[in-house]
Amino acid sequence: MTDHDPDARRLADLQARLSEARGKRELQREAPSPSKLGAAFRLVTELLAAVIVGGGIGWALDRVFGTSPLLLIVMFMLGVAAGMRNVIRTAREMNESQDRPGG
Amino acid sequence: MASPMEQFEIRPIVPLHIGNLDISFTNASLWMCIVAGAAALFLTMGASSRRLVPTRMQSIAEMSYVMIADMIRSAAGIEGLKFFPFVFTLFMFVLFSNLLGLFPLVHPFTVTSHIIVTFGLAIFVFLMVIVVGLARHGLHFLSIFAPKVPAVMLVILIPIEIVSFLSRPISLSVRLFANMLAGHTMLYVFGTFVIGLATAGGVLSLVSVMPLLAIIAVAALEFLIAFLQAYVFAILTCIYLNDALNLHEHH
Repeated sequence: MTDHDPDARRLADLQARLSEARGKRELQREAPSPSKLGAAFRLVTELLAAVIVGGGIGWALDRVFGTSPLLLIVMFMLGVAAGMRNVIRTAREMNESQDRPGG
Repeated sequence: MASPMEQFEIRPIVPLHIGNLDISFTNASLWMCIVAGAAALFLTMGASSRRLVPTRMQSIAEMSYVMIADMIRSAAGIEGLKFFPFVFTLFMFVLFSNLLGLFPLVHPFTVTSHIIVTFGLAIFVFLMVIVVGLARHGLHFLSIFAPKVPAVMLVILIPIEIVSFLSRPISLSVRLFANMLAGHTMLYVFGTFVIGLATAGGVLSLVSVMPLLAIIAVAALEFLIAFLQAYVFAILTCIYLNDALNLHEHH
């Protein structure tokens, strides 16, 4: 993978030309557009999973350290924040794949 | 009337026990074997003719190959193609589980309707991402937890990123499992409506056409969901692999 390797550079060059040539053809081959229901479901699971994981970690740590319910509350909030972050990231990915002509 | 959840019940076919450990060959095991066998058979038959002008079978096999290859290339870059066999196997297994679960008459068992199966797949992806990331970048891999923001923000953002990272296998597995569970339960419930109304006699028998139409629509939707969920599972695997391979770069 070093740049000094002439073969690797030629390969990368070929790759660049290939992807350029493919560019137009990719237009026709689009990813299946996810349904509205699927998109909504995906966002909900992203949010919920993070909340569950955050709350779960907090609950487990509380049991270990005997600090109930302090860590549960803190980690739950972190979970909510992480869930929001997941949702924003997923939504951005969805927008990008919609805007990009190649899909 | 039987419960709509009965279809998800795991029953031993060949009871096997090692000490207290129950390793019986169950209907779930049987259907996993069928799924793996069907996928292997389908691809072998698709690949065996090797015609220039493909048959339908060959065409479908080639299309699925190209689709996954393109997916990896666009989501994880050229280097992601090293993981093509893994992603393709995963996609085929999930797709065939979902599709064979919709097969009529034989009362199939949908293996992906059990969270332990989907979670098993998801945790495998999750661990592989960590191993690949650490192997390629060493401890530098941990920088995926640190977005490019002022240092003060990192104090709060790093824990958030870690929780977000840990939530991946959960969201990946719950999404697939819940979709399958909900779909099959819905089909069953509508099915009992049809039978219940049709056997009630009189005007009610005529009304039974309505849930029948609904079940047709739901069944069509389920086929779409079966494919879409397999696709989503595969593309998320690619996206996670991209994190491990390229850290902050996006393809």
